[in-house]
Amino acid sequence: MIVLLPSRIVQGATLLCLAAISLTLWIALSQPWLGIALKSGGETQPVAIISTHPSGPARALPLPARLVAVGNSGAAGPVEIEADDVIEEPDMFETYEQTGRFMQRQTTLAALLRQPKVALTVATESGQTQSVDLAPARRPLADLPLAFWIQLFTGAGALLIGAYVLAMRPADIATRLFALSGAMITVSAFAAAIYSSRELAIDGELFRVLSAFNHIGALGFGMAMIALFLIYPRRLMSPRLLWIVPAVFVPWLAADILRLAPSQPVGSQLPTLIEMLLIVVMVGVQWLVNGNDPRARAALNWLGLSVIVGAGAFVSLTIAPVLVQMEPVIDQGHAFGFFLLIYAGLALGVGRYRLFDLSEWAFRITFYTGATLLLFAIDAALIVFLQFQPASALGIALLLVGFGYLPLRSLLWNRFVARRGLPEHELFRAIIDVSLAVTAAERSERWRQLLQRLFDPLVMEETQEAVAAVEVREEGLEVRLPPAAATPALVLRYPWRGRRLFGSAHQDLARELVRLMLYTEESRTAYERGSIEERQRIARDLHDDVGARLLSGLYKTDLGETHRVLRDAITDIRTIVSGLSTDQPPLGRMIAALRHETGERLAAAGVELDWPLDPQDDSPLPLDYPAYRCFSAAHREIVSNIIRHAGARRVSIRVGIRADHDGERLTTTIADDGIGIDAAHLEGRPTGNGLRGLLRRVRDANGHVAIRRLPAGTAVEITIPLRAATAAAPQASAPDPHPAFEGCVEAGATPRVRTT
Amino acid sequence: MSAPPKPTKGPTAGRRALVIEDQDDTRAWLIQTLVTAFDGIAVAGVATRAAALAWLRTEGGGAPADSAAKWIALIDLGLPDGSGLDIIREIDRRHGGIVPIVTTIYDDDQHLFDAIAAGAQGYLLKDQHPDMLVQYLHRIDGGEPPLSPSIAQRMLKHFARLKPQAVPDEAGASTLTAREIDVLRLLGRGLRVAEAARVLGLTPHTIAGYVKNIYRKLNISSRAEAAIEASRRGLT
Repeated sequence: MIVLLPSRIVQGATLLCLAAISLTLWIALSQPWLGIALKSGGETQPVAIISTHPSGPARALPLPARLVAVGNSGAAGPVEIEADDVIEEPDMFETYEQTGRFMQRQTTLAALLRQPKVALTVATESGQTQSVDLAPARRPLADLPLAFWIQLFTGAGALLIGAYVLAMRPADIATRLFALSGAMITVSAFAAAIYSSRELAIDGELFRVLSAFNHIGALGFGMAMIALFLIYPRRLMSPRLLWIVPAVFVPWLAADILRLAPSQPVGSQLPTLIEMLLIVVMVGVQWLVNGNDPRARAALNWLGLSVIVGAGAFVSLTIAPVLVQMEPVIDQGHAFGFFLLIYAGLALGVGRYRLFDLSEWAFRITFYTGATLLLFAIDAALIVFLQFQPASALGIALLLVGFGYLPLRSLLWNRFVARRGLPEHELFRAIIDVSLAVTAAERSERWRQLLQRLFDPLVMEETQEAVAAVEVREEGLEVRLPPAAATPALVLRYPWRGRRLFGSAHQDLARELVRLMLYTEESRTAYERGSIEERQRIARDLHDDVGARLLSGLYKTDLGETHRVLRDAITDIRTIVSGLSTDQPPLGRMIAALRHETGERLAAAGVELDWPLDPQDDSPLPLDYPAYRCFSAAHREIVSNIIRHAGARRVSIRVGIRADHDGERLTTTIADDGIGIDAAHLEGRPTGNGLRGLLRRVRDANGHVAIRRLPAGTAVEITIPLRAATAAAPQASAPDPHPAFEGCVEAGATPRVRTT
Repeated sequence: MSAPPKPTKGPTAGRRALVIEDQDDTRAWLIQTLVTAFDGIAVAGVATRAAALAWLRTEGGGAPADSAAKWIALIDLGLPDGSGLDIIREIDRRHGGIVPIVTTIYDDDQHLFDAIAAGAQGYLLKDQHPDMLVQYLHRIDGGEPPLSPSIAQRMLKHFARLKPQAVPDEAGASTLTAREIDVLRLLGRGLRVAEAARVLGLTPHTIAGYVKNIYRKLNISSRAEAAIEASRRGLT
């Protein structure tokens, strides 16, 4: 399947149209010209010369006058002019014989006019007859009548609008039929433009060909329209059956062209009229069957109305009167303007009623394509213009072009035509920009903007269909992107404003884009999850530790106790905050801080501390925050208990790291020489808040606490995994038993924890 | 320090102090602590940086430059109208007779380190027990500034980073002696002055002297650094 790009179709149609206009103008202007305007004046004064062109060959003719005959000063005798010779449209004759005779006379007259000298016999108002020798010249462009231009404009407009609708949906049979109808109007109007604007005569053979084209176009338009309304808005029959329409009218058309029909009205006007009636009928049928589809009805109303009003006016004002043997109400040439109504109506209806499922974006393609063509046209005009400049003016003109036109052209080109890409390094930044947008709506918006910048598609819409990967479809007309950046799957159509197709390089780019986008989104989600966890952790710590402590302070009656509780709460906050400043404080730093703090506290209480330096406690080993938090809080709590309850004189602390198959564990043993611990504690029923909190905390960290009674005093051993990852592993190992300890109670994380 | 603190009352006649603290209750409490610690001391309290600088302009000139009983300024770092660091710098520059001491609630070592570099001669944590606070005040007053492990570690890093030739050496201010480094290492691992003294076989008083010297070197070297930085940027 050959895929035509929308812009190619429009550009092709534009070129075709320009060629057809040129050909039409060339034929019209290459006819011999005398510079007289003729009008049929009725039976008695058949053909009047109503005006002469001021610079034409016949400018010296006395007016008013009547054209009696055209002859040649040399050979053949003059041919008398009849009223029918200046008829605009030979279809108005009732019989083919009349038409044949008319064509014959046109050939004769045209042959006379092509001679270097033409003898016109004119009769003045007073009845005097005189013969004037004139030399036919070339017809100037400005002499072409208004009707010529109306037909040219209508034909061109119909062709271009039809092509533009086709360009949007080239595979759709409805748009094809619509475009065909436009092309038919062009054929019909351009042909009629030539012969209806003739001065007096064109060659009969040319006339017959043009007339045939006119008929083909007229009936072709009707056929295309009937077929269109058979399938649009609702498909009333299979498109294959549409051949019935030409099957009926093409033989009729052939019969007319070959003059086999019973009479000219039956061969020419009757099928046109029937077609018009069928169009009206089909619009009516469509209107009825689309009663439950307001959108289709709105579209139909607009298109049907345009066609009925446009074509109906043409038929009823120029063709129908002939059938009932009346004069056409207005010139056919002027009446052609009605057809433009159809196409202008369509152009207006596209945006509003989504005719042929097109929408406003469809205009833009025409605009941009037009901009390209216009620039080329200006270029061409400039080249032609410069060629005709005298040498002296050429320099100035070149300067103007260089400093005025070229920069302007480059500006316009970049604005409307040039394809804008994105350098690679900016691409990455753009993706980061997308993923860093705060809200989902903003991310989606930036994602679309990025795609617009990269591919400049005319259409970008969301699709409900599942799109798993980047996919180029419709032979490169569209690309589908999977959901990304808080945006559903997207369909991008007509890249670079319809001027290019998606290729494999673009597919790769889109894949890379989506891959990067998803990757940054994932990172972002992970980061967000991390910060949420962090916030939850802070909230939990504040609530569980600081909150619980302040609450207990609230109920203390002793002011000294309250102060102590408040100080402990501040210390808690200090620990939480210092945990925030670094992700993983080194173990050595925590031990140093604990040693310093413990030393100061015990010194203030008059207790001696035995905590010698150990090479191990200078460890740079990073410590997870939960382990850090748990370890220092538990340590602090035990020291507090010793200061408050033990009555000790000396405290020994040893901290060590033990590695076993579960990973590394941090162990601290805090032994005092005080009064010893309550039996309740040894049985795992701690009485104080502090100790209960300690047990919970250690359990949460997947560690365990062993409390033993010593011969004199108490030893508490805390063991916690260094890292959360190893904390998840079951704790099968037993801490190093201390033979000096008598009793032991443990608070373990799981039932697997060692019991006494 | 293995004995409970015993408030000592030195010669304090005519001695004055300034408490810069925006919380009224805390300020009153700090004033009370100073009065408890130093018999006969006259304490003024202000709540803002501007008021503190004004007090220094009008009253600060009376501070004895070479007396044993120097005046004391307790300075909160976070003040409503700016940083207490400015007050420390002002005292460091013009009032040799006043001992600037930072009072803070969180021992955020970055801020404390900056304060020491600016010229603070000690710091106190406000949440300590009043008895402890009095004890620490006496220590600072007696030329024994505190040095937490994290600040000690920071100082080690600071002097290791410092290029001796980059800073004009004012009495070896940009380098630490081997002993000073030993002291910092021990303090950085959490030992207190007395313990460090035991490990090094020195008296606590000598160790305290080293700490005070390290404070001074940090202050001098950071001032010199600031001057070099300023001249490099063409500010002076």
